[in-house]
Amino acid sequence: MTTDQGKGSPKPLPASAPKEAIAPEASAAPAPRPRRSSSGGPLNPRRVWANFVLYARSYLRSPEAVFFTLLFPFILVLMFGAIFGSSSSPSSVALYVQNQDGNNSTTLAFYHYLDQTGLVSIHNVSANAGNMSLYMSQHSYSNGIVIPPGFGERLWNLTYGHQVGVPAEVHLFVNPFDQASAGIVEGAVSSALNTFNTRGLPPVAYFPTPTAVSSTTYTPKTIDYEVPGLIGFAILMNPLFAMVNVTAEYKKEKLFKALSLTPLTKGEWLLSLILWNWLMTIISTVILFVTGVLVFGAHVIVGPLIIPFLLLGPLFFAALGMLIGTLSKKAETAGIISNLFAFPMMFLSGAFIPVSVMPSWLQPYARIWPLYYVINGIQSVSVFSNTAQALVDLGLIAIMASITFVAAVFAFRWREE
Amino acid sequence: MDAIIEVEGLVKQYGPLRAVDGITFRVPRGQVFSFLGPNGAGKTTTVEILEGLRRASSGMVHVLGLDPWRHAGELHRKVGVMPQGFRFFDKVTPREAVRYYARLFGVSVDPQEVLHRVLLEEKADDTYDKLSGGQKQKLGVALALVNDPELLFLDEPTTGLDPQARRAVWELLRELQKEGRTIFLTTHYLEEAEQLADRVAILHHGTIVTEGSPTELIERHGQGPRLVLKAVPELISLLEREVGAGLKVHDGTVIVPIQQKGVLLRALEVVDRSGLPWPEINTERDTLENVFISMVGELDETGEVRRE
Repeated sequence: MTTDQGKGSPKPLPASAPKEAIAPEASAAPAPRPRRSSSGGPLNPRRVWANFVLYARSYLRSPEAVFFTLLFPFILVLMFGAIFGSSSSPSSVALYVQNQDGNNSTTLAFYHYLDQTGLVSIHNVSANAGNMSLYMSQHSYSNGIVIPPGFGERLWNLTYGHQVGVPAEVHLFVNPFDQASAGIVEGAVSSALNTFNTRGLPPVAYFPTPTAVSSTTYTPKTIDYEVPGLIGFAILMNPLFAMVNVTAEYKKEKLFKALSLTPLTKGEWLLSLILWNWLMTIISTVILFVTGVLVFGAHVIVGPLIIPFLLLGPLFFAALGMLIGTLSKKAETAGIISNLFAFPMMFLSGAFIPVSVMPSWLQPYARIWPLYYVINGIQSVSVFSNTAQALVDLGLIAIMASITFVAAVFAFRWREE
Repeated sequence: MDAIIEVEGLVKQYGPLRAVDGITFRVPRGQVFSFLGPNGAGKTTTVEILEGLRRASSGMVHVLGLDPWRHAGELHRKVGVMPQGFRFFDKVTPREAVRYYARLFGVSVDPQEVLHRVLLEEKADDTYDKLSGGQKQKLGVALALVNDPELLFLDEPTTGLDPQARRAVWELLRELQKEGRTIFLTTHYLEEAEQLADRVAILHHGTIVTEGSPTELIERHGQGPRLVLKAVPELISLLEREVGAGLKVHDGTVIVPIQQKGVLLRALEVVDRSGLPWPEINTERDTLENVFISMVGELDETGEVRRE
């Protein structure tokens, strides 16, 4: 009782007969037809581009997305520029101390008095770190002192009048272009030395003219730190939330299912979205730099080393977003988890408030957030022109990005088992 | 007959739940094959296994001679799929969607032409979120056609459509079949299956309870054609006496099975001869729906079983 239908191959669609367009990747190769599942196979640029265009269209047609990507960072830089625009470095100054005098008790007492001034926060630099001036410029430090060998003993002798002829010296290193913090450091050191001098005897200890260490020829202002901070913010927010939304929403709406029924592969899909995130990051960065420089006179050193940060940073956060979106059962959960990551991170990593301004007990916590290394790295390039530090940060980000990316790709499934 | 889909002893197990419990069927080339069943019967699971979206727990599955899970990429180039509850990107227009699919498949098509086939060309430049439910479904069908597939999987393509839109989709499916394409149609609309399908398989609790052409199923599981007559008691007793076997009386209505043509003629002759009044006389035959209800139960609009 079956209907008598024409058998054989289907007739093509009238007038729109699809034919293989541009030959895809070496289709004429004699090798057996590549066995590709929807999760593997060679990347086809045509499909990457098609998905890139589609995503870009969707994106640019939702005004809120455009607002968050392009307008929001612009507003932020105006806001933070207005707050920090002209202010100089913070009042509690980081002081790097290289003690070459060991555990001499007088030296330790000097440390104690220095700390008691409350003007500086002391960071120890290993006696083996070598030339302090060089070390400081490599680490983008502005202020430091070196306590030479025998300092404590000389100070003790002087204080109690044993050996008046031999002066006790500390060597001061300051950034001559950051007069405010240089003054604070000089004040703190002389105040600590004066504690020894106030025993009724003639002045016994002093410091010679400070040595200039900064490799920059300019005093960094807060806005100079702020611009990389906000670039870091853009690097965090756009890729992270874009990927969280995309993975969670696509899963919810079964769009992955629809896409997996086309020749588009997981890798092509992923690559197209990462390309898009890179483009958005580069655009936001340009907006932030230009606004910072033109509106607030931020001083920015644009080195080529900024580029890898703009690539690896978004890659890391995009992978993180994808991981969160993939592992969360529901879109809402994914949103909450990513906020739990993003909010502490943006405040503690120096995106809005430079880490150096934070209370000193809080500063070590900045270093636990991946974003810190992105921001610190960009600052190393754009504020200090400190290639060594930038490379260290870059290496860390590269490691984090690779691990997260591999994890995300493994966890992410087009189809269910 | 040349089978385009071959399934043997297919099982899909989710933990303790056996969603598909050892089903076997073949779909001949060029036919419309319909999977009928209530929600949760295992229809979508089976279809997704055929499409290479899910992996079978055990059993043999061949679609166009390929193992769908292992050769999903190759399969997807040759088949068109409209998944259940098809959704697309909110801010993309049908024209862009067709062009996107064409790029992914590496084919060149005229979006206007494809959209015309599904009667969506007037909405070609409206974004997806502005389309009505029916227009969204039509886009789903349009995208399934982009790669000119010889086999189409349509999972509940008319769910949520108004009757007019539904008929338009049916018309399109008939045309696609005329072009020699094989269509695997999943539905819980019995009328749809009866209208379109060459073969129907009724799925219930993960097994195929019956399979065949709609006519075969009606013949096999229905009660056969019958004469239904409202009559006065005298006429009823007269019929009982004269026609006899198989006759059923219920509340002033007589049901006479008329598998044999002679029975019908005799009954009519009795009625005519008696000169007694008969307010209503009809012949009835089962529809696929009657068969389905007797085997599975009645379904509501969403495909849930109303009562067993």
